[in-house]
Amino acid sequence: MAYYAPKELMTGPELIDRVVSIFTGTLGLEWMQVATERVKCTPSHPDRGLVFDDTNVGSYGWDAIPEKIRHNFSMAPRGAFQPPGLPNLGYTINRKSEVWSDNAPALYEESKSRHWVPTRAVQWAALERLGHGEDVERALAQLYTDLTSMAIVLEDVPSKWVWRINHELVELKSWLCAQMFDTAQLADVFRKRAIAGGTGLGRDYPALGEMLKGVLDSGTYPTASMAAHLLLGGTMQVLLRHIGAVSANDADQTISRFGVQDVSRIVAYGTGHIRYLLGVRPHEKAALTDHLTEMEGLLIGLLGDPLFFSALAVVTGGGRDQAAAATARVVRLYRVLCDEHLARCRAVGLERPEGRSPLAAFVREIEG
Amino acid sequence: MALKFPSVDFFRELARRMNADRATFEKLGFCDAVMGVRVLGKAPHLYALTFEVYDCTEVRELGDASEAELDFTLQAPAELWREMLESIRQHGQPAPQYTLNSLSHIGDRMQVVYEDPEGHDKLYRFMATIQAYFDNARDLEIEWA
Repeated sequence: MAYYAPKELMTGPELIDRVVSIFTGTLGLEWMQVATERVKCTPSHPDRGLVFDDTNVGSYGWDAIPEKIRHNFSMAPRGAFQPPGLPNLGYTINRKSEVWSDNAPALYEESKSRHWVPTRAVQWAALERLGHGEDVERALAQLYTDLTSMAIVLEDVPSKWVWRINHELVELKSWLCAQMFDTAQLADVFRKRAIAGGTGLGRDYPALGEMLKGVLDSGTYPTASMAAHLLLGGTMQVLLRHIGAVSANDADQTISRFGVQDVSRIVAYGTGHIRYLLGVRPHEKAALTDHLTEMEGLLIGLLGDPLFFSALAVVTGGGRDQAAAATARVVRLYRVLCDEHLARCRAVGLERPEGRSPLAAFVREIEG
Repeated sequence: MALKFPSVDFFRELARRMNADRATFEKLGFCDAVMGVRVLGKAPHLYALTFEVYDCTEVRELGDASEAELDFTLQAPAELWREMLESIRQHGQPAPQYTLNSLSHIGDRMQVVYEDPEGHDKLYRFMATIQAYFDNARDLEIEWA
């Protein structure tokens, strides 16, 4: 839909007259008389500097955001004076609970503060002596290829929604942009790691694509957040921890340690968001649970895919010949993934009756 | 002078070294968490370490986990803590199999105990800082209890 401003400014004499008037010294400083709130803000901790939390005061604070935003559809940041005639930007997300998490402002500050630079932080020279054989490197490159695709989806999900979110939720939008940058960088470092290891990137495959498509195609922001931040983020966290636990290479150690930090902020946001949403709108549980069940089914498709499972078995065992003996440890890894996922679901209010989680049933089945 | 492990003095010395090494911990970024360290054995001990911004601001021994609002607790037998610290002392940092991540990942050697998953995830959000805190034992003389 095209947008046309209500006035044709280029040919309007009114604007030209006003500009000429300003050039001749009639500045028109009425805008300086603005009835916005005057507050004092100072860093609550000198080492932290002035963070979002320190400006959570009065009309500038997020505590003042109503559940339904009906007073601002413009680009005005929260607390700014809004004269009549501002354009309606057409935001479709105007409910605080649809996107909000109380930890989002702090996660944004944490993201900036804990930012790392993989181009220099990773000991790339360590890849000249991998410390593991070609089979393990091929399998690691496959997992890094998978992680690259996953990271891009964690980048795409907020980008799909953030411009639809009302500007009143400025801290939340800032956090989503930080998430986009963090995940762009993760996709970058995972891909570089796979290439630089010498075997090149691995392959894409339907099971992974279907799961990621399910995340990206989630029809509402809450279902997308649950699928991306809780389920996909939790899966990536466990995978990165596992790479750190099985690869002795310094490059992998660094990527694992810092990658886990970035992904865990995203998981923390997802946990906080769904908890907040269900606290305000408990009836959303049915739709979320339905999507959760569907997404767990897609995750099972990935976990059970021979390519994914065997790549994990090769890196876990330390080689092709040791892979078969390592399958029990991969199953144990799936148990960890499942338990941590279910613990988050319970904590946010998405508990399900015994036997209703496809992921739990799948893990029980393969445990024998 | 050797510091006894486990002891409040041991963890306070690691905190002192962390707070003195501002460059390293500023680079790693904000860290806000209350972490428990449980040392299992004949005489078990539980410590609460409070991290705030770039510092470890408080170390205290607890009689029970309910005495502090712990985000998560790392729990392992005294022998495993000793192996980890010996590895740090030997290499300046832990060998890959002795990082906090490797030890706790599956939960068969070191357990991560938590009540709220948001607290649990703080271990992973702040992993680099927490590992660097323990790496401060690299040149510490330790008397094993």
